[in-house]
Amino acid sequence: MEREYHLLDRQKLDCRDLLFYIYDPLPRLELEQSIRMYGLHQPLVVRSKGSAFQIVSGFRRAEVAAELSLDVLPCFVVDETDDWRLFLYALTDNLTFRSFNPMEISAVLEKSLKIFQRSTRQVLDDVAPRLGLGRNPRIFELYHPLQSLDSLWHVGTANGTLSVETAVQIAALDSATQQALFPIYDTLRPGKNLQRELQQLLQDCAKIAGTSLIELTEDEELQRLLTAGDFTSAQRLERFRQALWCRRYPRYSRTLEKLAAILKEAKLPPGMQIRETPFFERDIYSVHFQFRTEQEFDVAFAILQEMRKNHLIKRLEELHG
Amino acid sequence: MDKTVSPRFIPEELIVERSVHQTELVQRVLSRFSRVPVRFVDNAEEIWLQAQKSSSRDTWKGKVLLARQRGPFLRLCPGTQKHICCMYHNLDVAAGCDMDCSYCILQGYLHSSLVTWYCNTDDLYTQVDAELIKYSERFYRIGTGELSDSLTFDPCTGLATDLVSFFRDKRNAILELKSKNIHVEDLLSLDHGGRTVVSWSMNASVLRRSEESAAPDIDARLDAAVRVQDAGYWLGFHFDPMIDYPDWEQGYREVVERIFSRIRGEQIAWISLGALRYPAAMDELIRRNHPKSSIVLGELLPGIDHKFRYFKPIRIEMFRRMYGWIRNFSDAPVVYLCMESDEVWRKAFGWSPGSSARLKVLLDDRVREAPK
Repeated sequence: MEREYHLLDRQKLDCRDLLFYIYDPLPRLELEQSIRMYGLHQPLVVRSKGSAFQIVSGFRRAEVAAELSLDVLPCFVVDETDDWRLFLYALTDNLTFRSFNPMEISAVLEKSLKIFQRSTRQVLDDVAPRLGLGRNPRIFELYHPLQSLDSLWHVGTANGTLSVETAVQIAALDSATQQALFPIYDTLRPGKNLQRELQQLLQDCAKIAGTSLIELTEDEELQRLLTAGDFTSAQRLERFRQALWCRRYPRYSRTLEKLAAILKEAKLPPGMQIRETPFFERDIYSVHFQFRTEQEFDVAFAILQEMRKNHLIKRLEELHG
Repeated sequence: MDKTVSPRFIPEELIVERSVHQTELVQRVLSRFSRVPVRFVDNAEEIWLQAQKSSSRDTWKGKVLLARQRGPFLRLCPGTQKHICCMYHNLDVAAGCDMDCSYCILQGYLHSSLVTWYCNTDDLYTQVDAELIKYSERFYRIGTGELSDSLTFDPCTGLATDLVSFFRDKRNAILELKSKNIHVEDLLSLDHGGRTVVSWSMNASVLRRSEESAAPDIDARLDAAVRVQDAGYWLGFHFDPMIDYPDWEQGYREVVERIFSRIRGEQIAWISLGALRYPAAMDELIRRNHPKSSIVLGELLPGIDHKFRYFKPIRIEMFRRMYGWIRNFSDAPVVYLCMESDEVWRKAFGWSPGSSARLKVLLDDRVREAPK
């Protein structure tokens, strides 16, 4: 593609023409800092449009330049009439110095399909490699639904705080529900590995209770856990998760509570533990204790015998149904 | 009481692998569906690959691939780790089903709605004969209902009826045709020699409507079972998967009562019970393929074999109740658990076979002779 380097007057750039604009919700702090310190090194790509110029690539650079009152900007002026080719060129130009975040990828897919009217096959062949992705049709399932994500979630999705899988799950909900869920994630800040579980738990609990997700988010107990001031954020997340588990798995949770009550009654000393198998799937318990002397051994043993005498072993047995 | 009757399956397209084109089964299918479009392919694997890559399950709905079975037709059921298994043999004559039940494990295995019928039946008969002769001291229970439904395609292929005749004279094997469907007409006049068990997968009526909506209703299945009973076959019933829902006790008890109001206990070879269970990856598939189904909302937790199962006391309670209801009517059928531990057996039934080998003997002994 033919291009010529020019220093152009910023006023001549038509910043309202968004044909090639790719939405990115992330703040431009780093870009601003870099341009402030070192100047604008990466030229914009523009196309002549009457007496002005249409931006093809470099919208953020142009915005920062405006904020910093830079009047003259380095630009490559391209001579290309085919909008689609120019869009692909813009993607390549961007990819040479940065990678695209999930919100941008979603915007590119949307623009390719809706504005440039390309087929999914064309998008896979021409666009996916320019986004740094493979030619796998799953990219449509994975990124395109993010177009329905409420703006509250955009930054977290773009900066990777929210996993794309969870963002897609949330994007499938209506806007009011998305907004109602946002304070939960914003307060609890679950790591990526917990987000999927949390979202599934919330949706399942709402279904089990026969309520909407919005009603669930307004639940008194859950609200109290979100707002109580005396928990660390990790504790708050764990308690919130536990509260959902109790609703999602009531019989299992009640059994866990009974186990905790039995062990509390047994008054096991520190260093002594009775453990069940995961989810009580096997009717086996194991006892762990440490001892240095015969006396310590006898103490531990006496505690176990006391448990038997007080029928606590029988009660442990009964937990298995 | 609903009376949904499953219509007969009619393929929308037949895809024939050239290497089986001249087989008797393919010729029979082509003559039965002379108006259905036919496409020939050199290698069925291309089609399986395309079906696997397909983004929508429905792309392949109604399409049937008539192919050569690459692997052995006969294989021991893999069972599951650390559980008592009935040591059943699967005869893989088809893969895929037209009933699309929400809990069906085939969603996880097959990834698409493409149905495959394996047509090199000469190999099938040779392999089964070779196995039964080689291990003549062993007894085999062999079923075709693992990767498909045993009767749903029989009006198309006639294979189930062929197999009944094939097994008629086998002294050390019995065939089980396990189904939710009701296409039994062609079985009724056959000389089966008491070497076939025709069995039905049963569920509470409310679950039939919500989770097995394309399958015939429970009464239609029982009507078919009565006809098969009159034709002197062994019968079987499989409550698998049992699903925990608010009125499960009433729902399942009613079905047990309906069975024994129409079927003689002495003619029932066995009744199996199994609770809903599936590999972890199936959870997402069920949610995606059956968004209206609520079965994934049960208290399903990872088991020893990493499959999701109901919390153990729930399973035990369901099995215990079912066992009691069944035994109120008859002591004759062997009632057994599918893929459960010795502990669950003991707690649910008050006894346990203790091992897979012992369970196998109990089931084998039940059907060594024709039903009385």
